[in-house]
Amino acid sequence: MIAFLVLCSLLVPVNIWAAITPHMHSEVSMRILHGVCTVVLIPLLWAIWNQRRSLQPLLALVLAIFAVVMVVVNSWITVMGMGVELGWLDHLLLALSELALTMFFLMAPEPEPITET
Amino acid sequence: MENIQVDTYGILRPTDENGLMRSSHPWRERLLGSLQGQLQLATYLVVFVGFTGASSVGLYLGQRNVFSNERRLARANVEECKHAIESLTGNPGLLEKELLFHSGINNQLWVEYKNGDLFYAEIHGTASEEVFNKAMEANPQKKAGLQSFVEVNNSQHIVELVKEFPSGARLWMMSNTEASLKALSNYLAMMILIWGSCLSITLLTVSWVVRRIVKPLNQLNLATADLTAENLSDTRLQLNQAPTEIEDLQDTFNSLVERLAQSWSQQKQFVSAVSHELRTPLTIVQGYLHRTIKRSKNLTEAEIKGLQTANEETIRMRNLLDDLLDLSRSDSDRLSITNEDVCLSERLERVAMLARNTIPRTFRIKFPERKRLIAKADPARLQQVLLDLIENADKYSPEEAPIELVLREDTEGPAIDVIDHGIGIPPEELETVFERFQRASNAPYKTGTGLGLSLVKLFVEGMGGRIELASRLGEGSRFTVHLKS
Repeated sequence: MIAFLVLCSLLVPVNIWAAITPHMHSEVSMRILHGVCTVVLIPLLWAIWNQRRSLQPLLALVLAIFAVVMVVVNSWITVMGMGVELGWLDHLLLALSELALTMFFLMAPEPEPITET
Repeated sequence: MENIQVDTYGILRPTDENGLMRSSHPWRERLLGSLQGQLQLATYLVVFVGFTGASSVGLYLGQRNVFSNERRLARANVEECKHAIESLTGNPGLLEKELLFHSGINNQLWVEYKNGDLFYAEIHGTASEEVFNKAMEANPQKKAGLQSFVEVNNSQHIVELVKEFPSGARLWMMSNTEASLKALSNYLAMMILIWGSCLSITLLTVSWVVRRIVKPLNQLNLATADLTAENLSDTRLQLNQAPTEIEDLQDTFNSLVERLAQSWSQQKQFVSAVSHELRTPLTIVQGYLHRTIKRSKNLTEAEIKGLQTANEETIRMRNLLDDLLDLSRSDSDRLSITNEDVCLSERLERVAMLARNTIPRTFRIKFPERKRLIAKADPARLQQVLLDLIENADKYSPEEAPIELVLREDTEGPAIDVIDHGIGIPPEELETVFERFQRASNAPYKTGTGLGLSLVKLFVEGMGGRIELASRLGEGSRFTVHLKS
């Protein structure tokens, strides 16, 4: 899990660089980056669903919607390739989603144990 | 054995010895729950944020400066020739020469006439009408001064409509930025390499430093865990190269242990003195009670019964004081055990006879074929051990259940089993029942002081033997005294 979080955290600067330098990357590298960023968001959605009872509803809902949108949009970009308008903004949002993912796994509360009465 | 509880999601999760559920994220405990993990995380965050910020800003400024420089150079080149080009639009020969003079492999100029025809200098391997048309598509509104990026032959180019002449002709410029982008790419790769190295070195250094800090704490933890009443006076913590704060903790720990050792010594002395001082008057009281019961003629039945009860209680109290004295002597290494050759069958018969006097129960004694087994033992202590074990068996067995005394010889040497068919001892308490003041959790309330078995173990080990216990709940227990022959 720690290795997974390190990977996700490293995707933050990579996406920022991609946003800054839209002309420095190839089509293949960009598809790989969008694909990886999309795949790592799946465990986040799974964890939000599993821990939905112990999370703050509003924050969990916002994060879940954000993650779902990012997964859908970036799956499309992965399949269709580059040439999307405001691609730099998508990379910034991807960086934000990876940051949110890391923060979630580090700080999400654990489920409360059942206490016998 | 691991305990399991159900969490709020109906998932089975292991619990610790206190019944609290263990974290479902052990990695998080390792990372956020330990000093080492926290410091490593903090270091990673600092290096990560610093690098991300520095590399992003560096990359942004680098790219901006490189492109700005490219544009400036291209514009300067164009500024020099655009007036000449304007005056030569009607003279293709001179215009081509002018365009050729100001064009190169990385920088190209061409004129787009009002009718859409293109005029450019032919430079081998670079320009073509197709390329220029593609470049001009990047600025469909034909807005002068607008710079756009176009990929031509797998290279990034800046395209700009420099000027629209009164005749309707347009001067275009295209500049190859591939070299600048490659330089930026090299810069980024170098940054990643440096950052990766810095991060690895920093994390390794922090891990080493944290281990160095935590090591004395672990030593302190181990020393505290090993602390018992027996080694209080010998335990002193000596940490090497510990930080000042930990050294202070070490001094405090040593001072605490010293005070505890002093208190423990005083307590032992007190118990020893009190036991010794109480034993003499108790013996006198018991003697008087015994003599009164024997000699007085005019006592009623009730008075005799009362005096007998008082006599039994003084004997019980004297036995307790004897036990305390033995423990006290053992603590101060003054317990006297003198081994000699003892005929175990004779000793066992004598013990059984003594036990029958006080315990109204069936005793089954079993001797080996070679009846005369000799062992090295202190006769008085051995007798006390066997009587204590028999008393113990009697206390926790039903009235009709017999007590078995088995003398045998095994691979270690002679052994005596004291077997009862009583309540048994829980498996997890088989070791602790030999500790002082420890009694089995299923023992009836107010039966014994918890000193008997600790003394049994003390005496048997003092005679060079060992005691073994096997028990099953509800079926009974077997205490085996192994002695040296």
